[in-house]
Amino acid sequence: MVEKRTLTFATLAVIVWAFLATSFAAYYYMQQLMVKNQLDEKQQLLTELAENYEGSVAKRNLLFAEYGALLGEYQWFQGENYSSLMGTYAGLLSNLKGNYTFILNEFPELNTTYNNLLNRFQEFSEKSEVTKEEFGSLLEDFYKLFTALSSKELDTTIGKASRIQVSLCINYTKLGGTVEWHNVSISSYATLFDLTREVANITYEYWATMEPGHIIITSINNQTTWWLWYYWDEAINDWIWGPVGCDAWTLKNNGIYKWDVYP
Amino acid sequence: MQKRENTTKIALISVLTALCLALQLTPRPPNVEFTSLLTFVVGAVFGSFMGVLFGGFIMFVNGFLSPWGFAGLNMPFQMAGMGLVGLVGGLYKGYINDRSTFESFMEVAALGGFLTVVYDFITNFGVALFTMVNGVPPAFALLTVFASGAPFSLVHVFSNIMTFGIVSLPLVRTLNQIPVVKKFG
Repeated sequence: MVEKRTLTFATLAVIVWAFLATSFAAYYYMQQLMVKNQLDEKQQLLTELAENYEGSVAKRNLLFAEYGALLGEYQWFQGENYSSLMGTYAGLLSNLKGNYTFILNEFPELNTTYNNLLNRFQEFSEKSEVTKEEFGSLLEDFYKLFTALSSKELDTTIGKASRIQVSLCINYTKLGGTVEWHNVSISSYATLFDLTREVANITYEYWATMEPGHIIITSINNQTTWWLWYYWDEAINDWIWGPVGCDAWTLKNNGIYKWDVYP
Repeated sequence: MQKRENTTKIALISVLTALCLALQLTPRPPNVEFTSLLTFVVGAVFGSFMGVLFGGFIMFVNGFLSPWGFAGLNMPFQMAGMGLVGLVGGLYKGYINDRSTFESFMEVAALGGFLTVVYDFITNFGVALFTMVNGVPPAFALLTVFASGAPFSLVHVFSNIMTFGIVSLPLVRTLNQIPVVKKFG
């Protein structure tokens, strides 16, 4: 016969076991639920990604076909005055704006490039004669903008699924301030210009003739001076001066960047 | 004479309190603790009242100074849970075996595990309650709090089964050998 006391403590032990078992069943259930939700989210993102990608590629191919047709006309054109091709070019430009409105609104540097191209086109349209070189330069600039917009759109689509960690240092010491560090999670397609816009209030100038990258930052957080950018080179453990405009420099994961006052 | 023995008793409890607080506030793996053991032992040696007071006081101080941060609104639940451990220690006082048998060690280990489960239940309920106050549906709040606390409870229960099983009875017997405890404990 089992003693009453032994039975009592055996019951306590069973209660302990039951509590732990129930808790772990609940824990397992919650974990499963969490993993399922995460998988569903990823699946949805993947579906969206595939749909957006297909849309972007179809749009790009259509515009590219239009551009190719105009380029063919231009190359086989026999006359001296290319103004007869300006109407087709106007349609192409309008289609470009219509198809990439979102990207043009999101990225001011590309919008400025578009407006500059439009102004040049309007300037040539007012002339009675458009030379081969003039029309050729319009086509060349259109192609550059078109490739920039389409790649930005694809980057934006893929960027929704992947983010990177970067650090940005803004050095105000030469202006009597301190060094500011920003550790940011940002879309993988972002440029240094996008990052700077995200962490600070900036003003900038657009230089059409400067390439690659057209942007020069003129003030950061109301500090107007010559701002130059640098990136940290891990191989030599030193800051390297930015070789292009900040809007043409794509960020890398765990990259470290700096804005500093010149000189 | 009575006054002197009271002073000695208070001094002994103060030493145990200081020891317990030092252990409780020392950085340690989460949910590995000796407060339950010492509270149970104090209850088993000095009675339920002292056990409840001891456990409640330790958790009160711990609520402010714990290496895991300020306990906040869960502090009353922690105090109640640990007070219960002291209370049961006092109730168990009359049932402690004089013989050091395997059964008696197993018995106190099972009791330690059970008290830890009850303590975790009370404190987890406290966390769930405040989640409910913030607008989370009760069933979901209870489920998530108990589920997410499961790995911690496992560590807590097993570490306390070990400490209660191995240390509590020898400690109670050693403390009971101290003259003042022998006389007035």
